[in-house]
Amino acid sequence: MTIDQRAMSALIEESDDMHADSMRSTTVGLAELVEQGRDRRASGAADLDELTEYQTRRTGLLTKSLAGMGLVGVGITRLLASPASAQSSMDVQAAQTAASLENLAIAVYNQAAGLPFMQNIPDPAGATVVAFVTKTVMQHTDHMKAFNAAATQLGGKTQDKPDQTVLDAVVTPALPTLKTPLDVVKFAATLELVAAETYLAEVGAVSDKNLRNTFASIMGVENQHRAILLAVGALLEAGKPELIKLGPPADQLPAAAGSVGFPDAFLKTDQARPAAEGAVK
Amino acid sequence: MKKKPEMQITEAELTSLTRDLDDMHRDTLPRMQEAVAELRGERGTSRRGFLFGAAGITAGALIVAACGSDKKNTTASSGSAGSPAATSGTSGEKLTGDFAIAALAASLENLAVQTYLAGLDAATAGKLGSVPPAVATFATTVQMQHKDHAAAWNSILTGAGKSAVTGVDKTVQDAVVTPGFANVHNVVDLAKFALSLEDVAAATYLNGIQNAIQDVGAIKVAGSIQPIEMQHSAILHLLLGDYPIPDTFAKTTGARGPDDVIG
Repeated sequence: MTIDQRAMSALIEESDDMHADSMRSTTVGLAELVEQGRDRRASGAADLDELTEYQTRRTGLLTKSLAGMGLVGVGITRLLASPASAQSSMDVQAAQTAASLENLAIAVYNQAAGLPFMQNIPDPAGATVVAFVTKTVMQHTDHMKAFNAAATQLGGKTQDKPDQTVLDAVVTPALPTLKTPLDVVKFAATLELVAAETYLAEVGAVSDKNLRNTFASIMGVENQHRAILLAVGALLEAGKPELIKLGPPADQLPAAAGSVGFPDAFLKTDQARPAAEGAVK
Repeated sequence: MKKKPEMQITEAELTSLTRDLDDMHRDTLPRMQEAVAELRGERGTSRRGFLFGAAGITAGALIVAACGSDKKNTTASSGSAGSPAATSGTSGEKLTGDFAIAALAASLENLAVQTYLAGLDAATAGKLGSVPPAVATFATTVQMQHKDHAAAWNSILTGAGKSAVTGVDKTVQDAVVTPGFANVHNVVDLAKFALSLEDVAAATYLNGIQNAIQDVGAIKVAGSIQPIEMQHSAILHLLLGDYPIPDTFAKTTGARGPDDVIG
């Protein structure tokens, strides 16, 4: 039996750290679920004060989180046109907000894919990233259509615009600061997390069964996007872009690559966007 | 002479790692139980207005009454997901409605934990050939997350005065795990096998959310877990050389139902 003691020690240490982090996140995550449940329970109708407070709190959390990544800077304006805002029933607004997040994701992926440094990633990573972006944009497009279908079935309008609040507060400042593939991957992972958490929050909040089912069937897919982005990011950070491919040689992967894609045992909702944030005006 | 398979982790080190992680769980479990109890405390006040386990006094009760206990032990692959029928925990108590779903979920999580540990044991024993550190990390971390998931469901059960489920989904174990694990001879086999279990778990949670669970707090718990199982699945797909996110929408195919036997 061949044993690499140093590698094993590192593995144990990393695994312990990850688990400790994960359990802290679990506790916080469940507490967050409880808090949100208190906030959002009872009536289906949105209370304006509650909505405002909720939006403010969530916006602050997201902005703070991204600021922590060092994503600050100038803005872009070409992604969008008029913002989405609130109206109609909570379910319709939730569906429209989800569509606005999908529109935002599509725009960001397309924008990022056009950056020069993203087009010059050596293969196999380059081809893998292109395939991922292409497929992910398609999936987000299908998600957007599903949410808009749900919105119209509930009597609302389709949402063709991105979430203006996230665009202005997060995306616009961040895009000019994306200088490397790793920057892009981290940023995209954050947007995927926001989408997944928003949909989880709505799974427990909306009253229409079809809409709830739509949220439920999509949140996990966004979380999968995030998992792959986290794994790719870890390989970029480790200086091993040559391992970014389907079926990487497992024996060459860093130990942490085995768990970096799922840092938390439970999906939280602390980065969820308010239900009405992206609603059609 | 046949070369002995390489294992990059010693049994002692693996045992130590697992013990440390177990200790961490014991430290954090009470807080998680409190949080889940709070979730349960939302009952009757959510937008959807269902009581946790209320299916036991609605249509589900009729189905439960129609299901004799002898029927539950007969089929090995009868996962009729979605029917709010009864199930039995290790204590033998009858559970209905959302509690039956919680018990099912706990039993599936326990089965996943058991299976990953069996995989790690096999690796330690040199039965799987060379086991890369990343694969060992994956198996170790994932089994701990499944343990967390089981604890969350058991917190709901015990918080309601029910017994925790310490057993596994025997239906899946007998029909899938036992015969399937016999064919695991290397890490690729293990990854494929694990993928099938992760997909079943994710499908079961999605089906629970969409078709079975009534209480909004329980829906949130299931919703907070299903995306994690899907992450496990994505990484396994990636390691196996498949496209990691094959489905644009999560599916309920393969979802288990509360008529599975727990033991």
